[in-house]
Amino acid sequence: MATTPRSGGASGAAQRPNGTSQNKSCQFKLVLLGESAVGKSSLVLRFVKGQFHEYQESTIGAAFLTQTICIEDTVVKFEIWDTAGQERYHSLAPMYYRGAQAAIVVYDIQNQDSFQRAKTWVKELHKQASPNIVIALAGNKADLSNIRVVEFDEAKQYAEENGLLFMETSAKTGMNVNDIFLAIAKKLPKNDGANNQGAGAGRRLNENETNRQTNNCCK
Amino acid sequence: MTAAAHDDEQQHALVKRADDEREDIFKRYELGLDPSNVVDSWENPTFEIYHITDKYGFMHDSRLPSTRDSQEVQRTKIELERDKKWMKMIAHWPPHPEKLHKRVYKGIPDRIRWPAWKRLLHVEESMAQNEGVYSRMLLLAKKYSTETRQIDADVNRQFRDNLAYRERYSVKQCSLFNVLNAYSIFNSELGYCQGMACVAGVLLLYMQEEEAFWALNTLITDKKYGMHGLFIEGFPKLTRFIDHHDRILSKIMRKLHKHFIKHNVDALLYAIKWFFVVFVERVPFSLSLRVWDIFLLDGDRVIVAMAVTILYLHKDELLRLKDMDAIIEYLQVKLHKNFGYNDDDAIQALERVMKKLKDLKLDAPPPAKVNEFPTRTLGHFVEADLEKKIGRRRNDYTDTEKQVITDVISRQEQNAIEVQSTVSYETSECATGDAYSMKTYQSITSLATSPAISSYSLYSNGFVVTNFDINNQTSRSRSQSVHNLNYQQQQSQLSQQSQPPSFAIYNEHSLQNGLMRHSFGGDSDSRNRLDVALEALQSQKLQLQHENNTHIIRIVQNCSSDVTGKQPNNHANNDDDEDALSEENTRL
Repeated sequence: MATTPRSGGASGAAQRPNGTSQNKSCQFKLVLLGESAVGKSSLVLRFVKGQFHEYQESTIGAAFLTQTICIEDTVVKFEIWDTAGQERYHSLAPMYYRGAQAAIVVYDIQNQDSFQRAKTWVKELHKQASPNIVIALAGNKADLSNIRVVEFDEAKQYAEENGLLFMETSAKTGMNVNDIFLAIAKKLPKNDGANNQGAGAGRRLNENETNRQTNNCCK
Repeated sequence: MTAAAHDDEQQHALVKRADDEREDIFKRYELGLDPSNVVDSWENPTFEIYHITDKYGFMHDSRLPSTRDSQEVQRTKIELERDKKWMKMIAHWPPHPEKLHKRVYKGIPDRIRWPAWKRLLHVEESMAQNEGVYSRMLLLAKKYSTETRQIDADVNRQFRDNLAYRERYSVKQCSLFNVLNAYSIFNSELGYCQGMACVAGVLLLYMQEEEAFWALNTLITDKKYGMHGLFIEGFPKLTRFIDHHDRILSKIMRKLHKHFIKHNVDALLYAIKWFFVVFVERVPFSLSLRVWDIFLLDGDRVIVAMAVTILYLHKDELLRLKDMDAIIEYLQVKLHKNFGYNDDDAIQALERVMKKLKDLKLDAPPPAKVNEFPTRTLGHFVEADLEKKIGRRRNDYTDTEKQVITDVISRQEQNAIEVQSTVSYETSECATGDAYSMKTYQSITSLATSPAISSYSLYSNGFVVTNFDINNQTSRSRSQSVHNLNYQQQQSQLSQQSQPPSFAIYNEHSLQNGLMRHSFGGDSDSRNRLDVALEALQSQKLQLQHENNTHIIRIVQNCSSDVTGKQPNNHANNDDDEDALSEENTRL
């Protein structure tokens, strides 16, 4: 399948000019999907900027942000596409999940419909997105678990049956937000000599980008 | 009980109340700073809302300046004068178009926006013709609207940083909720689309509920604004406008266009909100109001022109940003906080761009198709189908949606091809012999100040300095190197038409080779730049020099005489620009 040059690419240990090897670095395209007002933008904001806005403005079209994390000896840069949740914008979604190596499908634990919609998104991803895509299911607004409607076990079972990562998250408290991205990063293939074209492997960053990225992670 | 006894009792009660009140007040003072003495937050000068709220009701992260500088005082004076003129003009509506044009472009005074916007959007006529319709729609919405949940979610987060919308279920929040629900019934084909809450939200800052409903209807259904086509399923107008936007970029800002393509910055990503809500929350609010003024007067071509203006004014900074992340952040966040130009300068640039686009016959996108307008009768109630009622997601895409997906994906692929071309472009002479780049005159980041200050538009740096080389030698080498590029043949007809005859030969030649530049010949870019510059010259001082077949054109608004005395040449002019500008800066 055709990919844009940004997605996909070899990964491997970068060579410094003097020949010593440094941390591997990869770049992955990640898309957030889910019903309107379940907290997609808030999850991204928490993950990328460590902030939470009680009244996050509604996303028109899509937003784009990046964040870099380190796992073991690898620097992982996420290119995050945060999409609009309204049904009306559904037709633009393929533009964002196409070529994505990872997706977080978000629902609101207080809202049964949003869980059903999450399932539809998973189905669509399985059908339309890259076959190797890593999908995580996030039951957001976990700080409101006393008024939950979607049971943890129900979602967990669904996730297991469908090969998804699963966590309940709270963008408000920060609960499991970094963890879910970290879990995705761990599951993504970062092995050397990965397929250049496929969506399975992250794009290797060039030397400059790597150096810059290294500075703002592994604090 | 006699009447006298009744009066007596009442009097007694009043005296008692006064006594209690006095006692209560005394008690408060006796308690003094004791923590049990409960004080409402607004009673102290530390009550932040007093200090952080601007004149539009928006609250900022930091305090606004407590005193007004001389510029601000001057502006207030001018606005008071304008108020009077506008009052007169509104009393004698419709005014002469030229007069109206001039005044709207200067900015409708904020106090006048209520009557002026209503006039421009024919609100009173609509209300007179549709008496009772709004309340009927509202009643139907209460019973049948299928969009209520989405509208509720969006009202809950629209302009929450504005005093009017700050409190949950405040008057304005309720009005916004009502207007959107009623409209979803009135125009059942459209229903509700995210983005509409923002548009209606702005209208409601200046209008009453029912007025805002009819104003919204004009924006959505009137051919002049045609927002129906933006918000309807499949977004037909969005794609039409984005294509047109790309066409303009490829013609008059080719370098930036390449830069965007190279870094995967698709116009669909940054322009969707620009178009859907007419720049609100993407440029400072005061500037978006100025754009709205003009949009309400001149219609949707203003949106096209403003998009170009933003990119044109920030071209140098954008070209310096080397990844998608930074470019998107710049367009979506930075410009909202600080536009870097004051509103008047930005609007002057917009006016110039509009004129320029008109000259190039690029001001209007291709005509709308029928699917951009309502086909159902407005206000005719149609009950929603079951799926819509229970809010279930359809299992499959509709044909319209499938078409959108196909378009979007082919667009992505096209861009991917162009990225590869861009890589070869960069290694070719085109990019390295860079006589085309505008001298960067001022970094926007150096202007970065608090959002509060930028929304007061304290800065005035609206000058343009351009130098370019239209030396024939260079143009030939440019054309040659274009042959290295593996561009797809696209818009060849258009480029044939709009290029000067000498370049038509080049096109023919390249066509024989099966190679064709993306859109326009190698020199159209510099030519158009020249046009833009020349156009600016009409209103600004300039100096024009001929030197070794090279034209160096320098435009400095309000240019001082010291600058005119200088003798720039092709290599040294960068320094000269800097000098001219620093002089300019000290004068501002």
